[in-house]
Amino acid sequence: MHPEMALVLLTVFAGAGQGIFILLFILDAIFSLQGIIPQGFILTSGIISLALQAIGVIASTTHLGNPHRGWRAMLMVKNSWLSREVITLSMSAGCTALYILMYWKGMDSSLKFAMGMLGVLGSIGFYISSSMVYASVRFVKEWSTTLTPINFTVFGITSGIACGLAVLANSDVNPDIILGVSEILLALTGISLLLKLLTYRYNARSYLSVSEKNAIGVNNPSIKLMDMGTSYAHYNTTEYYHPYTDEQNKSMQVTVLFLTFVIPATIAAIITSNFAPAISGILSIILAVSMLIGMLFERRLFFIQGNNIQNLYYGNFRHSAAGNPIVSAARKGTPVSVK
Amino acid sequence: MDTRLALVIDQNKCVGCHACATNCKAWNTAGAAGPLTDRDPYGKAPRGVWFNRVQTYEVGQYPNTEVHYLPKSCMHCKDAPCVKVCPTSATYKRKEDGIVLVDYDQCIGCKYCSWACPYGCREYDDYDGVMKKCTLCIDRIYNEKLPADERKPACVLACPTKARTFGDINDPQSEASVKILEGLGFKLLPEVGTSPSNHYLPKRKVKIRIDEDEILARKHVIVVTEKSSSYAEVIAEDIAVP
Ligand code: SF4
Ligand code: SF4
Repeated sequence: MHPEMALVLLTVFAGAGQGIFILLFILDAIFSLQGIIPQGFILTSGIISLALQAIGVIASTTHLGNPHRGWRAMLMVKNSWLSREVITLSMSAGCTALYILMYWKGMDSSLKFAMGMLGVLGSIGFYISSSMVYASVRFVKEWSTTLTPINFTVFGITSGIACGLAVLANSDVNPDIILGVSEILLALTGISLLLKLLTYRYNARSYLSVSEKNAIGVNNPSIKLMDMGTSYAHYNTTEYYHPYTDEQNKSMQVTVLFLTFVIPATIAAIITSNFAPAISGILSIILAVSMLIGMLFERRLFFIQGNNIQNLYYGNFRHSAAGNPIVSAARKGTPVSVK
Repeated sequence: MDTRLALVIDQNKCVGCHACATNCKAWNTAGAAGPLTDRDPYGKAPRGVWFNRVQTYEVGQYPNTEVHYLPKSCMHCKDAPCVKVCPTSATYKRKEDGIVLVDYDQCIGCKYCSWACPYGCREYDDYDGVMKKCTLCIDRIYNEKLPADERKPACVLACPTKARTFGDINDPQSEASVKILEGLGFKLLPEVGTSPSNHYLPKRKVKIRIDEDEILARKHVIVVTEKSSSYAEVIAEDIAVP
């Protein structure tokens, strides 16, 4: 699929913003009575969370052909994951804003707590529904796997906690809390790395048992597109297409692994070991930036690696699964030319 | 049983002339579903919306190759995945005749429906910001201002080889149903479970064996001479099933 920047920004930034909110809500709920979470942390991280979610909302409207009637996207909540995505994002952004407002106004009531709970629910709802938008497209096998919702949820929370840690480590807070959060972040980054490696393995080994034969209805192993029915590119030859080679994608995979997981995990380990507490503030910022940039690459690659079966018609389908022993053996001597 | 309108396309007859596609474009760009925007139509990179495109494939390996034409437009699937994913219900399937339509006034242009279509039959119009696709010429087939024999999709009327048939495939007596039954009609990508309404009639080869004795016995001088260049075999291959 063509990597649509608006959707990359939406899913990464809104996800991270919600992750920050989940962290600040939990810290506020647990420690507010002791008064050890400084007001500066809640307000700064709350504003960053709101800003990231706002970037997501704005990016998502630039993806629409008719943004002025974007509200209509909420109508089919019964059927469409896209509707659910829009509703849960509005819910989490709205609740974050109200929660921060109540906090700022000093309203420490059960209403604030309820608002926070709703915000957390909206955030988790957004992780699930935004990922199901992709996972429910069963004609893109790289997307339609349980790993998609798990990844979106874990990556969203992890990147949010990374941003939260950057604020925490730079505010006047009990060092034990910083250590605790960085320990959690280290564990989550490790889990994320594992999930991503599993996803890459899944992508390399799985395949859809479709071919040009059934797509055009001729029983012949050699089918070559001569004319796509148009003198120039059109919607269907660009929306589902990306120009990158397998080698380029492989090196992008390595970049993603380093920026998103390896560098942040190393830094989190340094912070956790309390090796250089004096520079943990700056280290945590590097960690958060590296992870956010890595997540943007990760999501972009997620789009690129999605291979929609309608590419079969336009000579753009990538017959992959080279890592699958059954498929690669079965393919020997069966030429399927697609260009 | 409900009416299920569809196109049946005979691949034995299609010669890849693109008449269906151009007539579709002409009617629909001016009709109720139009305009089908074109950008830079006479320039180097023309880009526009079509409801129907004829694709050409080379099948087999040299020297045993043949050309295969595939005119493709929305299949009006019975189990249409595009309908299920639309967040605004702009895309819907009509109960009365099974036609899948897009309500341009409700579509927000999120393009999600097109991702869910396995056939690549939806085209986004970036000028109007909405998704467009074949309507089975709904503004022709029920149009009482048109003569009765012209109440058919524009592509069907344009096809010079009569490769396209329009009708209710739930009615076993309809011309479309009879053609599917007799011509062994098939669906594209049957394994993806969308149950498309449009059907294709497969290209079929008929080989007639003519023994040398038989030819000599009939003293058919021309065929005897042509046979040496295997012309007779080629003619025989090209005869379609009646
Ligand atoms: S062919 Fe595509 S656009 Fe048409 S009904 Fe089927 S899924 Fe929808
Ligand atoms: S592009 Fe329009 S018709 Fe398609 S899913 Fe979005 S709102 Fe529905």
